[in-house]
Amino acid sequence: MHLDSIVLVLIQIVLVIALSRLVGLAFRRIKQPLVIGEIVAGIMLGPSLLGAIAPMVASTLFPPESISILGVLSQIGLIFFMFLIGLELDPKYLKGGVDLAILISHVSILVPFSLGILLSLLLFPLVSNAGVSFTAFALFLGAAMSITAFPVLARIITENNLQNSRIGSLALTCAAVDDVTAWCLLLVAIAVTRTNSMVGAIPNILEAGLYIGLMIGVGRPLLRQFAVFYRRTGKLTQSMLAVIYICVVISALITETIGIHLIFGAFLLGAVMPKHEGLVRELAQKTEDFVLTCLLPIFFAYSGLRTQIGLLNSPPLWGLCASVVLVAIVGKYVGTFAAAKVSGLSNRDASALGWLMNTRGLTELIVLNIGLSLGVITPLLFTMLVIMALVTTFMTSPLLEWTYPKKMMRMEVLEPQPETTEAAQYKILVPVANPNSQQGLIRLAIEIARSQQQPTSVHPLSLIQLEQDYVFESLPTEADRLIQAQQEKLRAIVAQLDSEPVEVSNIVQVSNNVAKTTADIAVREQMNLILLGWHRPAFSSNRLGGRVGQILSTAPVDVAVFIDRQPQRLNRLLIPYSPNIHTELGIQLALRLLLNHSDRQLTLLRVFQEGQPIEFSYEWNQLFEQLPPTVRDRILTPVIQTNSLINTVIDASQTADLTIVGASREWGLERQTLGRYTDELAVRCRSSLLITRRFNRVTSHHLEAVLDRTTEV
Amino acid sequence: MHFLNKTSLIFYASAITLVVTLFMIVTRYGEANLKAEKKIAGKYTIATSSSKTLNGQVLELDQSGIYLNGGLYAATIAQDDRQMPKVYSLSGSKQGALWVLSGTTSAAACASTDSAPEFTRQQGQIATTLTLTIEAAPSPTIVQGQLTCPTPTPSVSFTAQKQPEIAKGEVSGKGH
Repeated sequence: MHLDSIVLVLIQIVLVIALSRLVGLAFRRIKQPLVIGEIVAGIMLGPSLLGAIAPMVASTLFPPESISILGVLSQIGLIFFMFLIGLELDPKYLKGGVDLAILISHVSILVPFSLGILLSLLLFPLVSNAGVSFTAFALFLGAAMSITAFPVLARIITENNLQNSRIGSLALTCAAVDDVTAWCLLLVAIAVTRTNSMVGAIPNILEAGLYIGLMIGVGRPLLRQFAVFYRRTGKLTQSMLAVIYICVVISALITETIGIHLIFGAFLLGAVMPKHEGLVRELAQKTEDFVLTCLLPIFFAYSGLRTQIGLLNSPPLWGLCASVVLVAIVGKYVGTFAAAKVSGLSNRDASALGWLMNTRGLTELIVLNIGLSLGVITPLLFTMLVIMALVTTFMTSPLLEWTYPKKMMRMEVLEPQPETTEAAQYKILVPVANPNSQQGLIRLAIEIARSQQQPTSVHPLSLIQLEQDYVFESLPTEADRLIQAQQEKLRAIVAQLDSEPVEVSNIVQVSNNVAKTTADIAVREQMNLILLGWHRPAFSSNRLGGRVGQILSTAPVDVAVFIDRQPQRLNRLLIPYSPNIHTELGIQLALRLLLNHSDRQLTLLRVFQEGQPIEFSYEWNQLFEQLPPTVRDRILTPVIQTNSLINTVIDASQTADLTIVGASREWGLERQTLGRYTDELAVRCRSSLLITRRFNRVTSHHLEAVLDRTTEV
Repeated sequence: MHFLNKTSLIFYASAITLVVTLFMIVTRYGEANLKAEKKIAGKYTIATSSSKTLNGQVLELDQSGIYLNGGLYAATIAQDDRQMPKVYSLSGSKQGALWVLSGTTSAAACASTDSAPEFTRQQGQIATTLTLTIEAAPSPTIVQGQLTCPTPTPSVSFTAQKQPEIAKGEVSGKGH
């Protein structure tokens, strides 16, 4: 079947984008960076998988005439990606402990570089072709071993909320220094490769140095005009964007003409662009969507078409590949570890830093493709180094967690976090999706927590979900900005509430799995209750499904879901009584509300069942006995004859401020996401509704301290 | 800047000096004593052979140092060259002065000699395990080889001429 070239390329693009997204998301599910999945998707499309299992399909889909077009697109993608990397390289990263970072970073380059040079003694006669000088080969292999992928590392750190931890901050600074140093090393390697001698490369290196000097001395002041213009207009206009893109391409062309690679020009322009917060954000956001979702996967596919894992077809070759991987890991880890130890870091810190710096990812792939195009590395060595890049990136997250669990890292946060009182014994976690519309939720949490007898705290929790890798907002500085903005919003809302004597302490952080993170925080911080707001799920008819359902079914603490009808008061409380642990939780929360305000009253509504009113449980009777008379007097226990429980409760809710129901079988709540009756109640209830689900069958600590002390008084 | 104290600076300076010295020693040794393998990769047209069907076929070789991958193709398929890079059926490495590859190729390559057994004639399209030996002589553009077919088929000797290389329209900064 013969297809027109342009049609074929369009089909290839569809295939590449779809597969890279799918595989990328699959890798995200196993807690790996999206980019690893995208690289693997590229390899799958090449001779390593598609070409091996379906050669005819591969040859029809990727004929050579179309490959050259893919090559052009991938180079364009690479130019703009390198521009983004340069743009994201903010001097802010170099502020904290830069002298320590420079030391660690440079040693973490020197050791793998040295081992790479020594390894070239073994590899050069085996896998290099004539025409390549040993110096160029050794320099290139050394550079390939020394790479740390700043972009991937930055995202791993942000996704793990480590940007403010001591180790995360240090790793970021090290990787930024490493990035610049490694690109300089690569620049020299390319110059030597192209001229095939160190002496011959000197003019190219000098020209490159001159261009860098010009960009810093002349280019940067000129580019500042973009920031001035941005401040004046308040936005990045299309004309301004066009001029910037032209500058990127011209800069790439200049470095290509000098004899170093075009990526340096693009990177350099990004690096010297004014770091005006708004301009950088808007420029990055406008550029990255297309580059990262479309052009970068094409680069991965182009690279994957050149990766032939089938070339490793004998045990000795796999042995060589293992030695490459081993040298890369040992070099980077030992170099970083040793430098960190000399600088006074603990074993654990030094080890964690070593694993973080071992991340090579996509930066390595860029370097390798340049090496293969220049002919300095052969397809066999290219494949070995691609495997090394994948292995080193893949191992970062699990080894980091093994060496230094996140919980321990977060204990070493650099910025002082809001203090939570150690003596606080009753804690409520309040996940807040939208601070502007969930003031009532925080108010209810404060009311439940409020107590004169017991130290209490309420923790509004805002989780910032980063949907994708490599988006500008997942950079540590940008994530920090989002966190600060969310903190401000929460503080403003809490400031409007009367929270005395409850301590309110916000928790804002990045998360990729809201339900799991919420549950983890609740366990870690020993919360007594998670109080959730009601959200309408996007893809389900069940109103209590979605994230609320996930938290309800997975959180190992008591949970209550609040459906706010905007009540100004919480004085009249209604509980349809049912003898089960979930209703018991509802009663306990209602009693807390009763105990802290003398105007409140509780109606425990009972209905007839088989001719008899539902009996109060032994536990309730015991609890009732413990209540002070002033509280007992405010509890009513009417009994109603009814055929429709739901309608009775809905009618009764007309005169209540808050109706509380347990997530129990009597309410048709066997299903994981609570069920249709409560679902119906959620829609038709006339008052605000609180649905309670108790986690622990045996113990619950909502009333212990307050009742003991109240009765003592 | 307490990390830039005397100890750190000494450590830093010695580390850099050590690496630069190591680089100079290793590259000097490498340039003087280590040689990368001569280029043999390319497409070779089989000019003379004891097998009639082998004549005119194209032997395609892809090289990474001493490691070779390749395949025997009919001239039309090799010219078509529709896949990049190819998945080759033969692989091997340099052993002494010889390149030894093993893998599979069309049984027809062994089928056309007068003494070829019947099964190779009948199963012309079925792949058979072969050993291919190439000797780079007398000039770099000519290779002499021997195709060892499964017994009792006799080995096939051949000479192949390298095709002139066509510069590929590579985009990514190649060949500057």
